[in-house]
Amino acid sequence: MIIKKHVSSLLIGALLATGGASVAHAGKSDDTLNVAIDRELESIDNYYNTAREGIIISRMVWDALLYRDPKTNEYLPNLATSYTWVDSKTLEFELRKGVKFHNGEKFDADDVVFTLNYVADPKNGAKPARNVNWWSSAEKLGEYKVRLNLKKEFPAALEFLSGPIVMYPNDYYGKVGPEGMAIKPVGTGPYAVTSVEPGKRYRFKKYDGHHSGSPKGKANIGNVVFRTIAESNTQLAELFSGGIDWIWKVKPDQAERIKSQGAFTVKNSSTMRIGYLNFDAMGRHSKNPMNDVRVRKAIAHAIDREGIVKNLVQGESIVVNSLCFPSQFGCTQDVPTYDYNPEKAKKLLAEAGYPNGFETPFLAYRNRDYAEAMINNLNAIGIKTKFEYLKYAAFRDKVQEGASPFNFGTWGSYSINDVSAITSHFQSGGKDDYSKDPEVIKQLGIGDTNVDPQVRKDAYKAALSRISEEVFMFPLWSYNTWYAFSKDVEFTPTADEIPRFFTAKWK
Amino acid sequence: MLFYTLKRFGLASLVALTVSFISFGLLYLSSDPAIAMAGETASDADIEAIRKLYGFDRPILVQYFDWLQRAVGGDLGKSYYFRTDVSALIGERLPTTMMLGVSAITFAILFSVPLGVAAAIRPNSIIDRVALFLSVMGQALPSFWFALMLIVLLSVNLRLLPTSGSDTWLHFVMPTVVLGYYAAPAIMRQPWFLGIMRRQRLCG
Repeated sequence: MIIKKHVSSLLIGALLATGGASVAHAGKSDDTLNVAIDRELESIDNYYNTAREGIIISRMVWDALLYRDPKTNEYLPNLATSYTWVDSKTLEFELRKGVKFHNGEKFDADDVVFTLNYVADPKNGAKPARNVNWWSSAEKLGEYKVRLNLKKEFPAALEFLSGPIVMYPNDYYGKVGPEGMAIKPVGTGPYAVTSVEPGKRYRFKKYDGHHSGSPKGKANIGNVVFRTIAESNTQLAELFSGGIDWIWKVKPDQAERIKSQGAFTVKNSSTMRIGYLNFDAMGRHSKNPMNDVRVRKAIAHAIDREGIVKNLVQGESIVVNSLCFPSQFGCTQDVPTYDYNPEKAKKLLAEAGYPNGFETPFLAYRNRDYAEAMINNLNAIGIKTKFEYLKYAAFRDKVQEGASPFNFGTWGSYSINDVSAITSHFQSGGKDDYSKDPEVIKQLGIGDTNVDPQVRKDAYKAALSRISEEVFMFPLWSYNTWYAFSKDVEFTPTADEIPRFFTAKWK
Repeated sequence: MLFYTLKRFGLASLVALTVSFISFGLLYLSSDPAIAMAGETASDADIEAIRKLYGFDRPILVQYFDWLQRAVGGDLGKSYYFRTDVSALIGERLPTTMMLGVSAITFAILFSVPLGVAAAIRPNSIIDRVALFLSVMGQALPSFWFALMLIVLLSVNLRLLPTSGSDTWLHFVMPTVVLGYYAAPAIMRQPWFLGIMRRQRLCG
């Protein structure tokens, strides 16, 4: 398998070198953008899949009540023209008039109430549960007015209502349910689905009836086709042969070579995913060196994050100093930081009683090369690692059982632009929390349950600062994604890793 | 004869049962299947919901026998991933697989039988040497490398054939050639070719 992988890479190198770049793309000539996706979607229904591609399709085919502008992160009116916090657990929305679904059904409060109550009912199994389990009910107050009753204070409500919580036609969905929606989806979005070959191919056509008040704007490209091509080298071959116009998640070395050819547009964008080191600060696993803050600080100083970002991660990735992505609400980089300083690291280890270093287990589930670079950094200050590289499910089991005193992980925050989607996940006393610091838990609790933005920001800053001071977790870098597409296409990627094909256009 | 048939049937059933149990067990070998299905972004609530929905919270033997009972009755159950019938999913993909299998075997036979016969009739001739060369190449050439080379040449550079997919007969050309060529050497160098030729010569 390793030999096969290397031979494949060499052959793709040959492909790039022999100039498989003289291509003429059919995409523009038939107004069809052909996109490759690498994963078979379990269902195209927004509430019954968890894949990134499902999120992308959801933005194309359906609308939410609000819409977060990816440039300004502002929440703009979409299917709702305005909202009001009646109290900290009640939201009311005025809905937009004159909107029609792809099948001609009129959009109104009945659709909103039906959708929200249907997906919130655990019996219906909507997933992921975290998207739909924070409100208790929706009520109709008028033909174009609804009330949403939250189970508890949930300031990230607007973030969810501007993205993953999309509105379905009550008459249609009530009749066909998820099975019907999976075959013949109906929404209000800029694209309508014209055919579904489950797991294989999805075709979309520009919806001319998309409401004029939409912050998404009307789509420019007439047709889009998503094709499942699991293997990255096959995607590349299809791009070069003109079968596909757009691919993403291109490997960095391939991206650089495609770029140098000049036949395709290659772009890179940072993503919300960040890498981190997690330490057993409280001794949950055992009495071990990670319990000592001086050891954790030593490790923080030992890792050459800038070097790893420059040489391995590359692209638009940056070193992050706070356990969050910079654009996330509540995130601040104004916290104690740790520069790359192996000498200081050795001094700290000596102070902690480890002048000759020590041995520790070290767990990871992805980016083996980054993990090995960090292992080299640790070796340089005397820390030897027993490295275990596991599949994600096994990694998660081990970490959550408290069996991993030191591990390297990543978190994408589900593309939710709020600190509650990452910092609170790891440091609020849950299964991934190896420090369970009362002060951090308290501050995160304030941030997670208050709707006043300033109160939230202050609380999150206090929590993030304490996490950095004590190095309960050590944030490493942001990740990035490479995109390669036909020169006929004008496309701009966004940091939330949700390609918005409705903003793409032909040059 | 009856005893022999029953014995073979019994052995085959045991093998099938063992393989089914091992295959079923592989689902649990690396980790919790609920986590693997839920994915990296899943919360504990999501994983628990999947565990309950698919019965992963039951003892593994209970799950196995439940599945076996239905499978023996022809009900392969619903796909954990797609939430549709497994038999429907297999049915969707089977025609393409069958077509590829039949075309590859047909190609292998059409390619290797005439060549094998010609080589057997004229031992040590140029035809024999060519057949030997092709046969050895077919055995030695990694099929995945051959496939990638064909893609680079015929699809990307010359743009004669599509790179992937199964929509038209053109999509089947390269996979047929690769799979057929992989099977051809064994057919081409069949000893019975030579045996038949030798017997024919002996019998005059």
